[in-house]
Amino acid sequence: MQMSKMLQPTHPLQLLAGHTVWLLWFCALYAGVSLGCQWFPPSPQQGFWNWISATAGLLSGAILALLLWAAICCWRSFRRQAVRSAGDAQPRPFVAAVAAGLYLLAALATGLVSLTLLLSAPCLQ
Amino acid sequence: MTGIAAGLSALTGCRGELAIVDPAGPAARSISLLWWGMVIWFGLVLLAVTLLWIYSVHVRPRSGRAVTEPAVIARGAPRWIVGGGVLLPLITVTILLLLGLPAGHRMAAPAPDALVIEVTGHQWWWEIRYPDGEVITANHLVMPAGEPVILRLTSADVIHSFWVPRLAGKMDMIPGHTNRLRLEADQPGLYRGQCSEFCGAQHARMLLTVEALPEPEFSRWLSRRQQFLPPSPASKTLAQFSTHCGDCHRVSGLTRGLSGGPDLTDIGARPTLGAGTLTMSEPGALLRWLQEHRRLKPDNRMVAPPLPAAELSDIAAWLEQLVP
Amino acid sequence: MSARRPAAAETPKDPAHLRAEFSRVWVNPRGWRSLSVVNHTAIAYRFLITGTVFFVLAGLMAMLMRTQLALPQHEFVDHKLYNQLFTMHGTVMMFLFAVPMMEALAVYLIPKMIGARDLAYPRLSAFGYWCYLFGGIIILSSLALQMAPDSGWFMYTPLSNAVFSPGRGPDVWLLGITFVEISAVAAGVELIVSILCTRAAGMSLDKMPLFAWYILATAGMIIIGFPPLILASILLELERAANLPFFDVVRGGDPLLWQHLFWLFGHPEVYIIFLPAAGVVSTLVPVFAQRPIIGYRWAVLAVIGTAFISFGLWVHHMFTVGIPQLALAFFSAASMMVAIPTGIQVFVWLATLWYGRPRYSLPMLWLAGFFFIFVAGGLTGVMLALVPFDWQVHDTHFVVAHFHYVLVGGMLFPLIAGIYYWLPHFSGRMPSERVGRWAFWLTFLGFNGTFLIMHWTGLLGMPRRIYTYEAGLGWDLPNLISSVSGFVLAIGTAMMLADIALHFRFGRRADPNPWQSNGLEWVMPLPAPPYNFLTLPTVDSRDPLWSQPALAETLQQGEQLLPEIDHGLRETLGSDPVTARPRQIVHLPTNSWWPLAAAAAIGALCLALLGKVYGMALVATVIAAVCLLRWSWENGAHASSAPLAILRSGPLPLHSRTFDSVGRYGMITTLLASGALYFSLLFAWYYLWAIAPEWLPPAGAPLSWTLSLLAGTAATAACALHTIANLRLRRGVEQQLGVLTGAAALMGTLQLGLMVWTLHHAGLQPTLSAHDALVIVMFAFVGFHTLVAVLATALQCWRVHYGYVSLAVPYEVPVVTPLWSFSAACFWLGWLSIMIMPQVWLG
Repeated sequence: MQMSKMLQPTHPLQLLAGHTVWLLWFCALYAGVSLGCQWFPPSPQQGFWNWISATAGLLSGAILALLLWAAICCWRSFRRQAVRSAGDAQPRPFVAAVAAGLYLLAALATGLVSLTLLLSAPCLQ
Repeated sequence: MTGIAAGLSALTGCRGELAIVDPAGPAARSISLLWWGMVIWFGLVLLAVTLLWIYSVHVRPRSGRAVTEPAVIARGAPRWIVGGGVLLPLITVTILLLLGLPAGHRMAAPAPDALVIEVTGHQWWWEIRYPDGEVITANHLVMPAGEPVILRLTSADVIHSFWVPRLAGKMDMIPGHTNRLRLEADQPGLYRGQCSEFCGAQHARMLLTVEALPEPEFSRWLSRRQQFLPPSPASKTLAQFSTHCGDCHRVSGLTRGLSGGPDLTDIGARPTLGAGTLTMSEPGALLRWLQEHRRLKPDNRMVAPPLPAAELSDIAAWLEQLVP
Repeated sequence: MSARRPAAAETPKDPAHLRAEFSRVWVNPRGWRSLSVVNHTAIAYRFLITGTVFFVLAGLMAMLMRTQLALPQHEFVDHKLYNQLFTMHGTVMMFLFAVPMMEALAVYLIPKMIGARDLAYPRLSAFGYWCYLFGGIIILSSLALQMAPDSGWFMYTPLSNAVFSPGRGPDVWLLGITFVEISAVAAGVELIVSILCTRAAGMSLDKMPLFAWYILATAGMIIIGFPPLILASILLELERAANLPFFDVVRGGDPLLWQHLFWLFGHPEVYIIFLPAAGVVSTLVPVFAQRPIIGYRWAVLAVIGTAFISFGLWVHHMFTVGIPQLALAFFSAASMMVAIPTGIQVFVWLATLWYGRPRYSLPMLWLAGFFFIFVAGGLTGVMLALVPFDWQVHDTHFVVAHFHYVLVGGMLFPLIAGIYYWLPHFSGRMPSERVGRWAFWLTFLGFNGTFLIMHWTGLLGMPRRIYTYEAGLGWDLPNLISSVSGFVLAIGTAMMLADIALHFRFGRRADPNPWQSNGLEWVMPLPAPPYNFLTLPTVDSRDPLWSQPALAETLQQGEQLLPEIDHGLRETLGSDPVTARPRQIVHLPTNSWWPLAAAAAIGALCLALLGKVYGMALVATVIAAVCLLRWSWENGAHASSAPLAILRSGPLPLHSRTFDSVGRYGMITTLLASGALYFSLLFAWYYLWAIAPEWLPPAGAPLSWTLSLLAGTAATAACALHTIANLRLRRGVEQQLGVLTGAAALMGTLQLGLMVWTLHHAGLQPTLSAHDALVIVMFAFVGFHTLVAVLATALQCWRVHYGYVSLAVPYEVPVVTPLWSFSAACFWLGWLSIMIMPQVWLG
C-alpha cells in the first residue's frame, strides 16, 4: 500500500482517518491537561488565560483547520466525480462523499470539545 | 398505608429527605433548575419525534400523500437528516454546555476562607475530623449554615462516595486520593446523606446526618465540643470498656481507639447509631445496638463484645451521657 | 477476472445433482457428531438458544431483586444474595446475552447477506461458541454454588481485590469473563475478514447491505474495545492470585487505573450492543416502508462516527472521581457529540418512513416500541452527559432507568423485531399475529411501568445497589410500582418466548421472501440450506432482490458463480475488499473436533486456575496448545484441507495458493486486537508513572542494558529472518525456505531465553512494587507473542519439509511475518518505556 494512494480522497482509509485524528487529538488533550495540572498548575486567579488552555487551544485550532481542509478536499473530489461518473458502478464518489462528511463530523467534535476550553479553568477539581 | 400515603405526598410534593428535586443549597438548586429545563425540552423532543413516527407510519400512508419523485425526495430528505439529526442535537448540546459547565464551575469554586472538614469513608461509617485535630466524630456532620465549607474526602479501605443530595452533588472517596467537595446549606436544618458508591455488604446502611447551624451557634458548638471532657464511668465499667471496646473506639481522654473504629466521644448527641441503622431517639437504642448489631447490620466490622447484659447495660447508660 | 461459467459447449450441471452434491459436502451431521459442526448457520442457532437461556436466567435474577425492593426493609433475600444477584444480573445480561445474541444474528446473517456460503473461519466460529458456552456455565454455576461475584458487574477495586473480597467470586468473574471474551474477539476478527474479503461479485463497499456496515463497525469496536478489559482482568487476577499490586496504593498502584481500563472497554461495549440492533432497524425499515433506505451514505457516516466517538467517552462514567474540571468538560462535550450520529440515524429512519409506504407487521410493532424507548433513553443520556447533573444522579436509580431504556429499548426490542422478521428464515414458518401483539403490549407497558418511574425514584435520592431502604423517604410507592410492573414485563417476555417457540409447531408455512424484502438472504429456499447459495450471485445494486427479481431462479438453476462441487471442497468466493471483484476461491474446512477440544482444554485451564491447582493448569495449557497447533496444521495443502492434488479449473486460484489470503487479513486484524491490549498496558504504565500516589520507581535502570539490548537484537533478527523468507518467496525464490523459517524460530527461542535471563538478572520484586509488576507483565506479553511466533514458525518449517508450505502454497508465510514484526515492535516500545522514558522523566 503506497502512501500516495492512501492519501487520495477516494481511498477507503479516508473513512477512518478523520476520526482517528480526532481520537488521537482528544487523548493528547486529556493527557496533556491532566499532566500539566499535575506538574505545572497555573494559579486559579488566571482563570481561562493560562498556559494549559492556551496550548490546548492552539493545538485544537490546528486540528480543526486540518479536518476542515480534509473535508473540503474530499467534498471537491466528490463533486468532480459525481459530475463525471453518473451511473458508474465504482464506489469512489461514495468514499469521497462519506469521508467528507466524516471529516466534517470530526471537525464538529473537535470544535465542540475545544469550546469547553472557554468554559472551564483547567485544574480546579 | 402510612407508607403509601407518605410516598404519594412526597411524589406529588417533590419533597424527600434525600430528594435531588428538593434542594436546600445553592449547588443542589442550580442542578435542580438544570434538570427541569432539560426534562421539559427533551420531553418536547421525545413527543415530537414520537408523533413523527406515528404520523409517518399510521396517518400519512392513509392520507394518500405518498411522495415518490426522486427529485422531491432528494431535496427534502437531507433537510430532515441535517435539520433533525445534526442541527437539533448540535444546538441543544451547545446550549446545554454553555449553561451547565459554568454552573458546575461555580459549584466547585475555591472558597479560601471556608472551614475545611476531613471526612474519611470506612466500611460502613463516616469518620469526620475538624481542623484542630481534637474534634473527631462519626456519622454526623455539623457545619455552619449559609456559608460554604470545604470537605476533604478520602477512604480508609474501598471506594465510597459522599453525597448529601439536598445540598450538592457527590464526590467519591478513594483510598490514596484526597478529593474536594464544596458544600453549602442555605438554611439551618437537618439533612441526610447516603454513601453512593457500592462499598460492600452494608453499603445500604451507610447513612450520614448533616446538621447546619447558624454561624454564632456553630462556633459555640465547636468550642463546646473542643473543650468537652467526657465524664468517666464507674471503674469497672471503664475497665470493661477499655478491654473490649477501647482498642477500636476512642473516647477523648479515656481510650485511644488506635485500631480505627468510630470515635465515641459525643455519641450521646448523635441522631443515629450504626450509620443510620437505629435512631438514638428510640429508648434503649444504644443497648439494643450493643446486643443486636450483628443482626441489625450483618457483617459489620464490629466485634460482638462478650459481656453479659447487665454490664452492657452499664456501658450503654454511660455512653448515652456522652453529650457535649 | 470472473469465475468460470459453464461454457455453451458443455452440458450444464443438473440442478438437482448440484443440490444433492452440495448437501452432501456441506452436511451438518446429527447426533453426537453434531458437536463437530462448523457451519455458521448451525453455530448461530446454538448462540441464539444459549443466549436465550442466559437471558431468562438473568431475568429471573431481576425478578428476585425487584421482589426484594418492592417493600422497604423487606427481608425476601439477604444482603449477601442480593449483592450477588445484582452483580450476576448485570454480568450475565451484558456479557452472556447482549453481545453474544447480536453476534449470533451477525454470524447467521452476514454470509447470507453478502452472498457467501459461510464465514471465513468456520472452525473459529465453532470455537467461539464453545468458549461462550463453557465460560457461561462456569460463571453461572458460581451462583448455584453460592460463591458468585458480589462487587458489582464492574468490579471496582479495592472492593474486588483479595483483601475486601476474599472468596472465589471475583476470580470466577475475571477468569470466566475473559474466557467468554475470547469468543467475542474471535467473532469480531472473523466478521471483519468475512465482510471485507468474501463478498459477492459486484458488491462494492457502497452496495453493501447496511447491516454489514453496522457489523463491520461493531466488529472493529470489539477488537479494539475488548482488550482493555482483558488486560484489566488479567491484572486484577494477578493481583488477587499472585499478589502483584497494580491497583494497591501502598505498593505503587492506583484503584482508578481499574476504572480507566474498565470504562475504556465499558463505554464502547454499550455501542457494541446498540449498533447491531440499529443495523437490524436499518434493515427492517426499508422493507416495511417498501422503498430503499433514504440516506444510505448518511447512515454509513453515522455508524463510523459513532464507532469512533464512542472511544472518547469513557470518563463520563467517572465524573465523580475527582478529575479536574476541564477534563470533565472534554468528556461532557464528547459524550454529547455522540447524539449527532445517533440523531442522523433516527432521521434516516424517519425520512425513509415519511417518503415510503409503511405497512403494519409484527416486527414493525416492536420497532415502534424500540423507537420510543430508545430515544427516551438517549435523551436521558444527554442529560447525564452534563457534568453537574451527573454529580447528583450518578449511582442512583436514575442511571439504572437510563441504561435500561437504552439497552432494552435499543437492543432487546430490535432484537425481537429481527427475530420475528427472520423467523421464516430459521423455520420456514410465519410468526403469529395475535399472541405476538399481546406479548408486545405487555412487554412495552410492563417495561415502561418498571423503568419510567425509576427515573423519579433516582431523583428522590435512591442510590443503586442497595438491598433495602427505609420507609418514609418517598421511595416506597415508586419501588412498589416498579416491582409490580416488573412482573407484567416478565409475563410479556414469557409470552413472547412462548410465541416464538410455539410457532415452530403451529406457524403457517412461509412463502419465499414472505416480507417482499430487498435483502439477499431471502433469495434462498426456506429454511436456509447449509450452503446458503447453490451458485453465488453477482450484485449490481443495494437492493438485489428488488433490482433482480429473477435472482432466486438463476441461482437455483446453477447459472451463477462457483458451481463446482465435485472436488468435495467447501468453497466460497474471495473478493477485493473495496470493489468486490472476485480474486480467489476461499476453501473452507469441513466439520472438525479441534474447536471443541481446544475450548474444553481452555475451560479446564480456567477451572484449574480457579481451584488454584496449578499443575493441572499447566497440563491443560499444553493440551490446548497441542489442539490449536494441530488445528492449524490441518490447513492449506494438508490432505484434510485442500491438497495440491485437487484438480481445479477456472482462472481464480485457491486462496492458499496466493500471498494475499484471508489468513493474512485475519492475522492483521488479530494483531490489532493484541495491539489494543498492549496499548492498554502501556497506558497503565504511563498512567501509574504519572498519577499513582505512591509510585516507587527504582533508583537506576531496572534492567541490564546489555542483556535487554541483546534480547532486542535477537527479536529484530528473528523478525528480519522471517521477513526475508517472505520477501524471497514473493519474488519466486523457494530455496532455503525451510532454513530461513527454522532460523527465525531458533532466533526467537534465543530471544526468549535472553528475556528470561534479563528478568532473572534484574532481581525485580513484583509483589512489592507496581513498577516491577508491570515490567514483568510487559515482558510476559512480548514473550507470549514471541512464543506463539516461534511455535507457528517451527510448525511452518516442518510443513516446508512435508511440502505443505512452498512456492505453490505460499500463503502461510505472509500470515506469520506480521506476527514477528508486531512482536519485535512491542519489544522495542516496551524497552523504550521501561529503560529510556524514566531517564527522561526523572531528568
